[in-house]
Amino acid sequence: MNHPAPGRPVLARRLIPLIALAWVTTALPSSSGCLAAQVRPQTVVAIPEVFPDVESRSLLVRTPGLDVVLLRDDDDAADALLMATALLSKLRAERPHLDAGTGQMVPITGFVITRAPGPGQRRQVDDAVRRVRAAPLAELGSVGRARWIDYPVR
Amino acid sequence: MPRSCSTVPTPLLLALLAAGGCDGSDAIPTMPPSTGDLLAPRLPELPLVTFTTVDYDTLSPADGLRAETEIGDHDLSNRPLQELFNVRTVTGLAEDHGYVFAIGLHDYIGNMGAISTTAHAAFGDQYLGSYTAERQNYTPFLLDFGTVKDIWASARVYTDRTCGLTALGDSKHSAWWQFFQGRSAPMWGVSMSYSQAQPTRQQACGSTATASGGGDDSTTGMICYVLITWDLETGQVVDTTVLACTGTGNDQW
Repeated sequence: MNHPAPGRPVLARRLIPLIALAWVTTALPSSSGCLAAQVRPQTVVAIPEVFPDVESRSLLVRTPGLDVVLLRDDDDAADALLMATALLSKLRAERPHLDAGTGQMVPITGFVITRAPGPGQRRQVDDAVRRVRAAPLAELGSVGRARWIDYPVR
Repeated sequence: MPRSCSTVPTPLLLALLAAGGCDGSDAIPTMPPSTGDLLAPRLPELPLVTFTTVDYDTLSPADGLRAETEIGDHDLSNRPLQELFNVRTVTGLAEDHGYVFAIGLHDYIGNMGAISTTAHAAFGDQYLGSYTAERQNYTPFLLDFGTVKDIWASARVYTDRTCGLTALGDSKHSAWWQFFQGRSAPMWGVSMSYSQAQPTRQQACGSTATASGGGDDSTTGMICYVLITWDLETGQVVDTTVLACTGTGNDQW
């Protein structure tokens, strides 16, 4: 039979965690606003079998909760991914979350890299493109079948 | 409760369905979707948009831009009652307002005038993008009296850059007579011409002159894009930002 520790009532043992939880909950800012601000949309990089009929080197599509980078399967795919994610970061800084029911399509008409990224960044994008090309084909909604991977972007 | 038909071997399926021995709502066995299909995100229908692109070979700085404004004298008209005058395209920088531009303009006789002006952005010899502005003016045929009128169009490329960008521009100019507005209206006496502007260049990056932000030698790239916002339910485009070119910061690398 368990006996309570001397000088420490059973009720207090049970209440202390509850009190601590209540304090934490009220001390934190509103969870809906705080969490929403911190939850980034899922980011996906995809190479469709047939690139959408948009004259662009690559294409960003933003929807509430999901950002997709569509690349052409060519020799510039790694550079295109590098620049597309840089632009995505910039757009997210301006508008972190889209309103419900709103989408953004961003055809990237052209880019130039004026200073090459460091070896780490280069390896990262080369690896990402390799993984995308190795991924199985799947239906990606309106763009049809594509190879895709998750690719977190800050 | 009938058991699920999906667990029934196919040869017995029809018999069981007929006898009501299983729930027919899921009677047709299907191949399960692949894991990739199950997890794949679903993109909504993309909006249909057109924004002008240009056969860059026509204007590639690598091919050598013509040094002066050229006026293409391609008047296809054989009637004296329409004319194009002073066709020209100019480019410029409006950095205080955050854009570079191409303006095409001409004077004309005829009750219909139209102009299509395209601004191109380039960085060195690397083409980045184009945007076209179009305008068409109509004067009622019976009220025209053969007066000389003017028309212009301005195409912009927005940018936060203050170095490295080159603005190029060209225009198609036309004038003609038409009894009334509308695709089926009879038209005659079409005059067409073409003009191309001298390029306007921002200062080179990395110079001692004023550079943007934290110094352009830290800039790692330039990217040009169009931003189209659309309603996911209706598919309608609600906003289009014309071509913009921006630098990508070094915090990415």
